[in-house]
Amino acid sequence: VPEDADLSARRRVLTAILAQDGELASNLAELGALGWDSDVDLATLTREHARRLLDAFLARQVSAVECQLWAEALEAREDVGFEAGYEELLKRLIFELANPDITEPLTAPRAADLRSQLAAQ
Amino acid sequence: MSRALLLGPIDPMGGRSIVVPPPVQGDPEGLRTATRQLEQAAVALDQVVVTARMVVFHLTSAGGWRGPAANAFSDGAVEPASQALSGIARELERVAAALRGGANAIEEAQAERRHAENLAIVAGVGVALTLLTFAVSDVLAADAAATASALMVRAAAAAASAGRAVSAAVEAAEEAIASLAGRLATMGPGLLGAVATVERVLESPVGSGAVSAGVTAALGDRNPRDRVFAFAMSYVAGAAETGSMLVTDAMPAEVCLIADLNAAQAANFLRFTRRLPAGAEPPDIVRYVTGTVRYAARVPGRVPGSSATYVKYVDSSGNTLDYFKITLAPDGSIISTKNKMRAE
Repeated sequence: VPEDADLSARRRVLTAILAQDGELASNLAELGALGWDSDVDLATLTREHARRLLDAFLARQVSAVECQLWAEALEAREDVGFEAGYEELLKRLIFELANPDITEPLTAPRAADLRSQLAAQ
Repeated sequence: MSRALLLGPIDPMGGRSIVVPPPVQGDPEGLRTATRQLEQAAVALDQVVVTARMVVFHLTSAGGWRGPAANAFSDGAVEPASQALSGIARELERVAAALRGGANAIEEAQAERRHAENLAIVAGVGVALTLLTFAVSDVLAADAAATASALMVRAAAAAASAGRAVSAAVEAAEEAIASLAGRLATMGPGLLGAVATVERVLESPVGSGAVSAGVTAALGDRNPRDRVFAFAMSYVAGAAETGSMLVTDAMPAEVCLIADLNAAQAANFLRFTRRLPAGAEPPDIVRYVTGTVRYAARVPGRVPGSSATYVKYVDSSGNTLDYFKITLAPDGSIISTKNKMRAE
């Protein structure tokens, strides 16, 4: 894939994943076939993205596994930036969601707690 | 469009013929099937490389295997083999891209040939494999035959050009793969020699694994995938037998922490650290003689004793080769390994 096309495709797929648009599995498959390196942020993770995910989980629209996959896909990506002023908060959230085995399993009470942490900031 | 026609003589019935190239040969679907198979083979090789690197990381940095033999294994054997295998994977992808281009070109040429035949037939031109025939008195048919002939010539030329491009790509890739495979073939004895310098390692199950892998490679196994699997599996087996305790002689400081990065690698390192999870410990950097560098950073889990380690391999141009995450339980066992670049 030419570099420009790769960056453009990555921007589109990352934006879709962040906004939870479309089928997560197919978005992840597409993302996995694209490049990794980037000197610029192609998408930005915001508290609103995280709130929307947790709301969907609390409404049983997405499972804990899907939340983990979502966070795993975004974790440590060098082309995904963070909402200004909330980097640490969002990094902690992503790490917890992506690594429930060594942090805390995602349950409804925990999701509500995380949701309130996002709202409080 | 060229109008230079190979006109035959006018026959006694007032008919004339134009010699045209034979129909375009080729199997676009067959080429696409081969394309997919080559791409799958490239992915499989990449997975072998990731597996080998994860094994090395687990045994050395995470597993505690330290010392000259560990360095020789990681630096002199697995990393060069990984780079050679990655090179082969990229060549397979190059051939796959050429085959895909060839499939498209041949398909277009075949479509153009069919279009030309239909154009001629509709105008009353007789169409055979290499001849178009029409009545001399039929001006419309003569014109259609001339147009169809030109289209057929163009289609044949396009198909021939595509065929040459595919052949050239395959030949270049074969040469590159042969060179890379040759490099792999030299690694067995080298590894054996390096490991043999540390008697203690040779006596351990892990050392035995290294030797058997080295011997396997030295025997001339031509399949690089098998070779790296031999490396990886022998070490996995060794680690299992020894409970990951391995050798504990001190790792030379110059191998343990080296910050000798070029500008591109330094830029990559900054990107790596900037996106690490909160709470990450200071990363360490290992540089291999091949020019590849490895960054690794551990992030303690909330469960006491657990952790996630983020490991990245970067080539001398600053391109990320591999990036994976190993999650460890409090007892040191691996919970999961994730290939970050494949969004696993």
